[in-house]
Amino acid sequence: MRHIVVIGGGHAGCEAALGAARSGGVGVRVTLFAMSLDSIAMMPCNPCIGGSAKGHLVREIDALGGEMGRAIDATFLQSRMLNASKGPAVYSLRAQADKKRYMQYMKRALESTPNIALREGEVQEIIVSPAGDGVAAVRTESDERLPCDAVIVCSGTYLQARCLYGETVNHTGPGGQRPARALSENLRSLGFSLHRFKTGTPARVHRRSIDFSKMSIQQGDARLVPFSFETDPAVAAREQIPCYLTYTTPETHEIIRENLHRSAMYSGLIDATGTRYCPSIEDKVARFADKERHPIFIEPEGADTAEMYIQGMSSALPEDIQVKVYRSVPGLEGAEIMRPAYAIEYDCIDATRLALTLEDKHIRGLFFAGQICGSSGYEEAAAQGLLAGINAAGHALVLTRAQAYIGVLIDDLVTKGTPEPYRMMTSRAEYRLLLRQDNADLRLTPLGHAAGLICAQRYARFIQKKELVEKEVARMKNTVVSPEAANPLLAGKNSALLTSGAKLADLVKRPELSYEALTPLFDPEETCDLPPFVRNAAREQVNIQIKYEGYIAMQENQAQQFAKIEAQPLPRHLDYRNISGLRLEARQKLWKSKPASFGQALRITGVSPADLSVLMIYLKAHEA
Amino acid sequence: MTLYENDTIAAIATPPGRGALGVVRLSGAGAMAVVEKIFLPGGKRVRLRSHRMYYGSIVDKGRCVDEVMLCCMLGPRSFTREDVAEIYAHGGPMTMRGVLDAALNNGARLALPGEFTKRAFLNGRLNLTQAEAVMDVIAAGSDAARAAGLRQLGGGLSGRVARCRDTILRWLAHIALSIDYPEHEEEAANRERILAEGQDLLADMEALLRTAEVGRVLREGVRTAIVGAPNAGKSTLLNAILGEDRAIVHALPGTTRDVLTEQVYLGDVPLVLMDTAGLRETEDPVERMGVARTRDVMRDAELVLYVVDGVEVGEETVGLCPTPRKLLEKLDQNYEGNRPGGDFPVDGQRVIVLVNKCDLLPEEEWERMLFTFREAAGGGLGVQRCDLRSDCGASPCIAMDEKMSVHADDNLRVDTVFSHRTRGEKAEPSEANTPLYPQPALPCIPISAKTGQGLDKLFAAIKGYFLYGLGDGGLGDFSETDVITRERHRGLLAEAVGHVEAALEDLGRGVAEDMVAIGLRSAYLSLGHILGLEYADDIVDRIFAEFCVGK
Repeated sequence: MRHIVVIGGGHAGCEAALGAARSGGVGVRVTLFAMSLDSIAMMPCNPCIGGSAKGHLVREIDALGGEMGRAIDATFLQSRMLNASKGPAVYSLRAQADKKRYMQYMKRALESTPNIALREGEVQEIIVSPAGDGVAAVRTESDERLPCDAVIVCSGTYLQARCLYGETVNHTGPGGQRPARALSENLRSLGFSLHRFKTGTPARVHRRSIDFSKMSIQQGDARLVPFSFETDPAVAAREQIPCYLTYTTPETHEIIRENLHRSAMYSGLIDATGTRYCPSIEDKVARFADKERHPIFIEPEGADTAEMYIQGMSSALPEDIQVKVYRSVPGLEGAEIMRPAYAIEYDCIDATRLALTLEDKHIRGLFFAGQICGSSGYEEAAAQGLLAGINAAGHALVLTRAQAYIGVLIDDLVTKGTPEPYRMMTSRAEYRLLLRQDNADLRLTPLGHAAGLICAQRYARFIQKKELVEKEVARMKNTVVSPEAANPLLAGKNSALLTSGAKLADLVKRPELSYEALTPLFDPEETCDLPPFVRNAAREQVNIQIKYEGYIAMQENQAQQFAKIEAQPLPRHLDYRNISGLRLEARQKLWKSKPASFGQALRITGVSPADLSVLMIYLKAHEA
Repeated sequence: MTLYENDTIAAIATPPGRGALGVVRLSGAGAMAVVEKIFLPGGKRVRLRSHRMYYGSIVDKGRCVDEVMLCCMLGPRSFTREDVAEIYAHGGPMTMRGVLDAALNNGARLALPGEFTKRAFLNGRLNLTQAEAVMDVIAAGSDAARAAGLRQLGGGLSGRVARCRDTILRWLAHIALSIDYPEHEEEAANRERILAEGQDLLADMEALLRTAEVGRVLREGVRTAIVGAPNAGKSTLLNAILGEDRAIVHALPGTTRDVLTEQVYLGDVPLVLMDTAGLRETEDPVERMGVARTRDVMRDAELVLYVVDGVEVGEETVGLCPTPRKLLEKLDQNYEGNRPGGDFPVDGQRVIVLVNKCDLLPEEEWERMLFTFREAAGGGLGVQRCDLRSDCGASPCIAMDEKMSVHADDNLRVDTVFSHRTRGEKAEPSEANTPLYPQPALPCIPISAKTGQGLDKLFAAIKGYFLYGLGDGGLGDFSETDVITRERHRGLLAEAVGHVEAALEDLGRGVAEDMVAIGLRSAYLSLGHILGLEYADDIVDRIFAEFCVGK
């Protein structure tokens, strides 16, 4: 029986525990420690899941058999497909979550998994084997020594956490939670170098104090696309709660500029590294002085609370200034701040010590996932947690950059490392047309199945859908329609008329047409027992695969070039320090990070393509 | 790629042909052993030390091949970082071959093309871009090519490519911003921006691409055929070209179709003179039958210099009508054999008619010895003499000729070789057979191969065709321009241009910008490959496959 300890019950910890327990089955026992069982799957910052690139991560988590997609489908307040005017590669799902219900859902999922034990308490030490090369046990605050085969550290923003605004400094984790004080030192003693990162959250304002009439309303989509491939949109449909959009004013900026020196971030209280991707309002005003206004979104925290989240107004200004700043925004003139905005700083590790499995390269069985690795965001954390969980259970699942956003995320973190909290973005993915949110199941569900996370019933349904798509794409490419049959429909769609027969696929490719629009021209696809929503998804898949065939082929070609380099392995024990011809910096960086492949080596900052050419020559010469 | 071997290689490191000195270079673990076998010191037998010059002789099979100077450079303080020996012998093909054979007979093997540089690269002596540029510098026979190579080494070319790449990167960044921050829609005016900047970028890239043609000419030379009737003065012309002060001559055996070629540099322009049956006067009657071969060579040539006897033309009006087709007919008359078939000139081929022996005409005749050749509708063989200063500007041939004569000395440009009848030329009625299709006339230059008169105009014309006359408006002074000299770079640049063109077209059609970004990214990668900023596993092989002989 393999015993796996998960430290932390946030988004990484939840997926890690569920992933390990499901993947390992009866052979695995998981113990999840959380500071408080009331903070399982807590969302201490924004009340939403998904968004650009993050939505892709959630779809991938779901395709692999993770929980996040189903959890948000069950608890969302509003759902939107972003970037719908752009290409399908960057369509991005985003849903407002009911924070409390989301937490309850996830806690229940953990509780109802037979081989997961939930325990409240702080793990203070990871005990390694006498040789120092493997995990042996964990020690809790009550000095309990719990032997285990693997530890997954998902400590989020809790390590040596401090929350700050103005001159106020609270030594707490997010939302007033108890911080973890002992683990940082333990990690240092195990050889990890720690960074100090910083992030922040805006104030929560009472709903009754907001004048929504001065804002523009943002409704959810009428046509619902759930995150989970398993969720029937008809079942998930519900009345959606709107969000609102307003903007900062010159007055807002003026107040901030006058009081910048009082922000904990500018007064010298904080010297941790913040993220450029989610700047505080004072950062925005200071760094983008020429922008006249910044958008502010008002989002509900839940259906059962009056607290509203003021997205775009994260701050570390003193509370009295915060009040002034918020009240300078149209619609927030009477804002009652219920919880002030604050910045939080915390310890995280230099993730370049980790392998692509998220296991430490030196201590066997020691895994890390989530913000402890330098990332930021619930989705990023959950994705890492799932992978670490699967691998801690005994698999060796590594996703490549051409396979999944999760692959990009983990590779970026462990290969390049990150100098600031890392947010997933579509621009980080080289092959985003291949990594669409609509085909995450086609990419990853077989892998999830192999890892034991996809039940037989779901897998059978997946295979059926996959075959249906393939058959239908082939049919579109092989079926020719005559001008007589097609022209009436084409005329109705303002599409150029045919003079001779044309393949259906060629018609689908026309910008003004689609698979759906052409259905009167051909027989419906084979009947099968797939539920209607899966069949609809299959049709959409057929449409995209045909419509963007040329671009997809171009990107596949790029990905193949990448795969070739990625498949060139580098010996684990190569002594880079003695390879003449390599620049000194390259020798040091390669020696430190011991990349698994040429592709990975190439992404190490400080290693140039010329260095790799030298390396390739060296290996060729020495294998002879 | 082939496995890296540390055996000893040898090659003649100086350009083939006659020179005061020539160098044979050896590299490899056994280089010193080979040298000890073949080098007999002039004075006392001494132990050879690194980076010292020694006088002695090269001995092979008991015979003294040449008196030489020898310098050994032990690795890693050498070009290849291996043990290297350089033998400075007396120039001249036989001597050099003798020294090389001595090395080959005593343990060295003949170096493959580019192998010295390849070893320098493999041993970490050079990075890829440097290696490529070194190859260019070494291969460069002319000042212009050398300048192009040196600039590449110094980053002139890479600067231009990098600027194009930066533009694409900026677009990609804007597209990324609009995708990753969709709620900030005000940021997204990308389509207009890219479409507006796109044409400029394309123009820059295409200008760079055009320099590749110059680069190819500089690297490979202009394949040139000299044809003409016996006694028209071909050999005199050849000698005049070869005897030109700046010319360097050498033989390059074994190029296409076993045609013997000679490479000469006319100032900046390398010409590869292709020897045809008619190229040199020969006593061998069999060779005079070589019409087919002449025809092949003419097809293969980029430049055909057709030499006619000016005196003959002067005396017999039936001398010449240098339309391409008539030129072939004329060739037929000069050689026994079948009439050549097919089209001539082939696409992109340049033909210049050289009216030779102008020195034999009196001064005033020489002055008037400017011809207009028109394609008489009836294929008449008449040749009109025409004074430049007389009023016969109706003929495009005169126009062409005038342009050449007037501008030849100040870097003549020729924009269109086969300039067509543009100035209201009237076709003369046919007397005999009607041609199947009209053909434009050819430019002609009066010369005297014997005295050298007019050769400067010929050189200027060639330079105009092959270095300046490219693309719309040409390149200006190419030596001020960075020139793409490597085929690998040209291919990558052409790829990038294709991707950018397609992307702009798609963008104009309303394709979503994230789709367009895929093609832009391909262009970005291609440009990165030129700069060595991208890695490809077969890059080393691809580059060294291009390297030229013996370096």
